[in-house]
Amino acid sequence: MKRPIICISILVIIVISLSIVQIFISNKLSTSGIELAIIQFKIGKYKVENAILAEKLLTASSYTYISNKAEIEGFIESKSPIYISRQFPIAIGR
Amino acid sequence: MNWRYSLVFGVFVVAFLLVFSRLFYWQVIRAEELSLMGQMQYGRNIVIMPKRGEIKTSDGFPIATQKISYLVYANPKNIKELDKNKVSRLLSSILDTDVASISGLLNRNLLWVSLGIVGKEKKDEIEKFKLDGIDFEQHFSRFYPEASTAAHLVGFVGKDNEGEDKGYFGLEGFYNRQLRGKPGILRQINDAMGRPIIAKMSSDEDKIDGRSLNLHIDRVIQFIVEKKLKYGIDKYGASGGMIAVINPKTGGILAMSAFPAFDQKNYDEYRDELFKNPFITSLYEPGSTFKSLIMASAIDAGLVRPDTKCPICSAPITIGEYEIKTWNNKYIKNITMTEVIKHSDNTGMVYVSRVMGLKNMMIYFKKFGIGDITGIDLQGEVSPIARKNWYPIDIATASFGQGISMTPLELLVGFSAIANEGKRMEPHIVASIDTADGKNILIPPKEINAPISSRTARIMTEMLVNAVNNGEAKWAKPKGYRIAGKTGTSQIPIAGHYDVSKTIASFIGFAPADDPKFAMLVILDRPTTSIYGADTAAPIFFSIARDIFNHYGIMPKE
Repeated sequence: MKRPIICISILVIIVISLSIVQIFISNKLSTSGIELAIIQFKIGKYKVENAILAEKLLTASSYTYISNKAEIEGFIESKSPIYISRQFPIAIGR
Repeated sequence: MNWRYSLVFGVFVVAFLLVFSRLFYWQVIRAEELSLMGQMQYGRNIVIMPKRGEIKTSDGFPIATQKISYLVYANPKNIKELDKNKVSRLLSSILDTDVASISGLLNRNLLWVSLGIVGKEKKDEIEKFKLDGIDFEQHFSRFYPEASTAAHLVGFVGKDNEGEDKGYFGLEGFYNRQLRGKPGILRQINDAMGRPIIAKMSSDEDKIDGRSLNLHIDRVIQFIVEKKLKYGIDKYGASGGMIAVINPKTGGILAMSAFPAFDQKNYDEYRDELFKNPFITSLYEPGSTFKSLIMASAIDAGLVRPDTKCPICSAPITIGEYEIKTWNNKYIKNITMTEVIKHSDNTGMVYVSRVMGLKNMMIYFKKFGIGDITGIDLQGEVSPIARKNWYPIDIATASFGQGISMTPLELLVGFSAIANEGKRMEPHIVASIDTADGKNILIPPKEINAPISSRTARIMTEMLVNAVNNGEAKWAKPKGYRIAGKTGTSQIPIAGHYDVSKTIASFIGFAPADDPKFAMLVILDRPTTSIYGADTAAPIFFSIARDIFNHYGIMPKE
């Protein structure tokens, strides 16, 4: 007689505990939307910042921009390239 | 007594089975339908637009990519009547549009009107004023960091009938399906306040960003070509021009440019004809540059040798009512084939055409791909309609590149076979494609055929080197390099005859002759300072070649 009562009591305690845990977790999840929205907003904001910085970087590293800037700064095109190559020896010892 | 217990038990079992079956019906059989109804009530579907793929040169620099922009829109019904004038004046100064246009839009009886697309700075400037009824929608728009460089090559992105982005012309058009990607659907479950809930039913489905293209195009060479072409058109007073540089061993296009061009960002301000890439869409008579292919064909067929003498070249040649003359009216008796190329002698080429005959010429036209599309991965390539009737005068003039049409690309690809041991390669702009999930799909070089043998290619190379070293354009050649090339000056056909005062001046060549790194065709349309290719197109060719040698670190040898 005692054993069935103990078993039933344990089962009841488990059910009640699990119900409390479920209520607790559901409650936590239901308000996590606020944090999720904040995180999504931050991700969006950083993506936009990255895209804008990438655009500036690409424009600044384009040859069109660099060439125009070089002209303004006074750089000129080299007409005669100078080649540095290995010198041939003047005399070879035997 | 026992039958009462059994009866009650039986009733409970039946009731339980009824409840169970009903639950089974709603939770298993109708589960999907109910779940969808729930999502529609508590969730929303957000279409996630894919990011269009990039187009990158061989150094990984994107010449076409996406940037953030904002669509400024207004809800006219949310703007007070008294404020509309003030808002119109404010927005017109920021959006750079006239006040009347903005005012007209704000006075429309609509819930949504588009006012324009702006960047981040202007969006922030408008936001500062906290205007009622004005809001923004984030977009991605196409961005070209090198401005209108390679405009014909890249093409542009416009809209299709449904208002979605679509590529037109060039690579944007040819590879539109690969570049555009696939939109996805984000299903999000929200609470009563509209905030998202982390729930199993939220999902992000199927969005696939566009694939990116990695080109053979060398950004340095492209920059050099564009700059020199613009300079050359101005200097020689030409109506326009085009240049393409190809790697003869792989068929990879290293640079391609044409003027007049257009600005891809503001394509709607230009005439439609300007969008077509003339290198693959315009048919022209190549003139003396074509002599290199005819001579190579005759040598390959064993019909002439470099030292074969022309027995009919001491005077103009009469064919019916026509007279074939040399460009300078000078005639060399018993001129050799090597000298025919060097002096660009039309009478020598007529002799070659007679030795070859129409049948052999047709065979070699086919081998060199003359009259066929090359298969380049650009939108809009054309090929000429094959001539049906060939008269003796047509065969004669075709030998020096008149009376026969082709696209500049056909000529360059055929000519490049001489630079590649006789093997003709299929031209390609794209070297590989990057998928959204990180895979790289290589497009390997493809040999189309071998129109001539490697022995013929070597012989022809030497003849072309001799033409550069001792021909009309030798004054412009960079010292110390072996360059193989041929000038071209072709008359333009107008209404059944040729215009004597206007020409297409060209130069085709490859270098270094012993191990070619590039082949190039330069074309100037109607230069006015001089009509000859030797005086106009050749100097541009050699100037670009000099810069390419520097870029590749190729030192002079001679």
